[in-house]
Amino acid sequence: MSVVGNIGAGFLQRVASVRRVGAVICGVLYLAVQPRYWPRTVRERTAKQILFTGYEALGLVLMISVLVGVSVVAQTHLWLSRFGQSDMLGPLLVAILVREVGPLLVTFIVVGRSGTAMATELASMRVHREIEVLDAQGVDPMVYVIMPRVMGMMLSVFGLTLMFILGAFVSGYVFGFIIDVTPGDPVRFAFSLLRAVTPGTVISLLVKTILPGMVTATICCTEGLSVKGALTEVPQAATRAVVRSLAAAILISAIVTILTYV
Amino acid sequence: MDAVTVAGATAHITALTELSYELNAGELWVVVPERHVDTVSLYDVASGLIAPDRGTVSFDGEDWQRMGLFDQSAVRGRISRIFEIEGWVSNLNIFENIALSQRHHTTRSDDELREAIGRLCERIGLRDCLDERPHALARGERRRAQWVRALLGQPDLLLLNAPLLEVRVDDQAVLFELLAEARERGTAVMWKSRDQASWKGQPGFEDAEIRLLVNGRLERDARDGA
Repeated sequence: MSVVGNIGAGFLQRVASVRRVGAVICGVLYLAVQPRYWPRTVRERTAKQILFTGYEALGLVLMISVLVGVSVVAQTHLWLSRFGQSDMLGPLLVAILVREVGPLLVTFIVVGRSGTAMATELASMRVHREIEVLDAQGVDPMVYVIMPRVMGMMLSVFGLTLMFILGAFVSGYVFGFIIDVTPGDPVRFAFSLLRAVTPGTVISLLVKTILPGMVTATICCTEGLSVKGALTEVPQAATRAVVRSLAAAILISAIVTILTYV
Repeated sequence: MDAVTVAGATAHITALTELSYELNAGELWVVVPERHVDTVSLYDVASGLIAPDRGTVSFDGEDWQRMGLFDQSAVRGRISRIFEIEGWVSNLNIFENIALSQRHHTTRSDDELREAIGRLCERIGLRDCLDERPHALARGERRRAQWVRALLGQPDLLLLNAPLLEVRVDDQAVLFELLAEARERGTAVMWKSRDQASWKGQPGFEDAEIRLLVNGRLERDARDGA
C-alpha cells in the first residue's frame, strides 16, 4: 500500500474507533436513564467501581493535590505580590487549578490506576469466555460490565477532582502560611477564590470531568473487550487503552478550553 | 427451532443446517454430537445468542429475533446452562456466581437465595465452598456447583453441556434425581454429551428423545440407546 493509502487507512481506523466509543457512550446513557436496567447486581457493581476508582484513589489524589498546592498556590501568590497583582490570585488559581490542572491530572491518575485494571480485567474475562457466561444467563454485558464501569469512573473523576481542588487550595494556603507568603486571612482567600468562580468555570469543570471520565472508561472497556482470545493480547489491550485514554483526555481538555475562550 | 441454518464462522466449525425441533415442558432430549467436530453452539442458537441465517428460533412461542434486548435478557434468565468449559466469572465467589442470574432477574432476597443454594449444595454434597473463588475448587466440584446454579430458581429450560464431565460416579445419582425432579416441575432439558455411557440406562432417561448431531443436522439414533 502507498504512503498516502497507509495514512488514509490509519485515519479511517481512527474514525471507526471514535465512532465505536461514541456509540457505546450513547448506549450507556440510553440504558442509564431507564430504571429497569438498574437491578441490584448493576447497582452493586457501580458502587464497587466507585469504591475502587474513587474512594481507594482518594489518598493518592490528595497526596498529589498537596504537592501541587504547595508548588502552585504559594508560588503564584509570591510572584503576583512581587508584581503588585495580588488581586489576580483568585482568578489565576481558579483558571489554573479548577479549569485546567485539576481535571486533567485527576483523569491521568484515574486512567493510570483504574483504566489499566479495567482493560486488563475485561480482556482477561474475554479470553476466559466469561462474557459469554454472563450473556448466556441473561446478564447483558453492556448493562452489567460496561455501564457500571463508565458511570462509576465518571462519578469518581468528578468527585476526585473536587477533592483535588480543595486539597490543593488548602495545602497551598497552609504552605504559604508556613513560609510566610500567606495570601491574607483564610476567609478572604476563600472569598477571592469563590468570586473567581463563574458559571463558565462550573460548566468547564463539569465537562472536563464528566466527559473524560466517560470517554476514558469506555475506551478502556472497548479495548479490553476487543481481544480475540489469546492471553498475549491482554497487556497489549491494556497499553492501547491507557495511551488512547490519555490522548482522549488531553484532546477533550484542549477542545473545552478553546471553546471556553472562543 | 424451525428450519434453522447457521453458517460456521470458520472452515473447522460445522454449520447447523435446516435444523428443526420442538422441545416441550418436561421433555428430555439427549444430543450426541459427532466426535471431533466443533459445531456452531446449538445452545447459543437455542438461547438467542446467535441469530440464525435462515429459519426461526423461538422460546415459549416467541421468536428471539422479534424480542427487544431487555426481553431477550429477561427470557434468558429463565434458561439455565451447564458449560462444558469452565463457565464461571473468576472475580466473583461461588455464591455470587450461582446467585448472579437470580439476583439480576428476580427480587428474591439474599437470605432466601443462600438458603436455597445451601439446600441444593447439601443434596449435591458440596460443603463450605460458597465463599471460595471458582479456581479454588476441584474441577469435579466446580461441575457440581454448576448443577446448583443450573437448578436454582426452577428454570423453564436446562441446556446441559457435558454435565457429568469430571463428576465422580458416586456423586452422579443425586444429579439424576434432581434432574427428574426438575422435569416433574415442567423444566425442559437438553443434555448434550459425547459420553453416552454417562447417561445410558440412568433413571429418567427411559423416555428421552435421543438425537445425533451429524453435519449440523439432528438425526434420530437408529440404535435407540436409552
